Amino acid sequence: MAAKSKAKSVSFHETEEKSVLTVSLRTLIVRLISTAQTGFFYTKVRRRLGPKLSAVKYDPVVKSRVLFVESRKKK
Amino acid sequence: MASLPRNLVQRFRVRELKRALAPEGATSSPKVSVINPFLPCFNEATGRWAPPRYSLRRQAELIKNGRLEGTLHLLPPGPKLNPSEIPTAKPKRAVAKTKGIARRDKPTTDVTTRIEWIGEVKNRDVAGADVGNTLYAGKKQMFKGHKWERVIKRRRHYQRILMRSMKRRILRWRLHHVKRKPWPLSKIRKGGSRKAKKLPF
Repeated sequence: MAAKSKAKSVSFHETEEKSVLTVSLRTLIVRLISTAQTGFFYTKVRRRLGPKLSAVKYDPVVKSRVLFVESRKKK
Repeated sequence: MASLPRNLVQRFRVRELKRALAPEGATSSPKVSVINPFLPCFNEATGRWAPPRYSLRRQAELIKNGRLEGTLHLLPPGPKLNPSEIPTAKPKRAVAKTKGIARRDKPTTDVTTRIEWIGEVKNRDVAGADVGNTLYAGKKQMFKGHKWERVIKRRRHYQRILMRSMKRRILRWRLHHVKRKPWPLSKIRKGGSRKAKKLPF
């Protein structure tokens, strides 16, 4: 089975000191953190340029469905 | 499984007496002075301390054996044996058992010869030894609990407060503008979104 190739965009820019080649992926792995502040989270993949994710999902710590929002932290 | 050693205390006693009376040989004197082999010894000529002849492990072994066979009174006091713990009772039999003892260790003197052990015993008072639990005895503070145990109450209280408003929060999330999808926890503005609206042409 052929491996999935991730869509990448390659950019090259030069500065006075150095020239840098950066590779950025189309997608991003994000964490959906529980708004009940339990510390429980889900992980999802979204497009780097897409809207922030949020969903109502089950939180096992409080044993009910709660709102999960994307973490603002950047890995 | 190896059997437990027998007559350890008697053999120890004979060995020490032999060492103490070596130049003179057997004696019929009722009392003998012997340097306590359980304690370190100070050599005045060199100014150094010689370690005890018996390691703490061996001392503990002898004491264990003495307790089992009732010959604890034959042992000298030491770091593992408080002088107050040594019973004054004499053994039932006056002569030591010779069965099971190596020929070289068989007593040439009476095992029950009164020995005066030379050496000062400094016993530390172990707090809680009388109770049988030395874990927290004499300590300022007991184990205060793991970090997660200390904070769990506060966390649960906060979570309960948040869960009270969860229904309202979910409803607000469902009502927010689906297409624009602003940050779901932001306030819903009465005038609408601040983002530029679509032009009519």
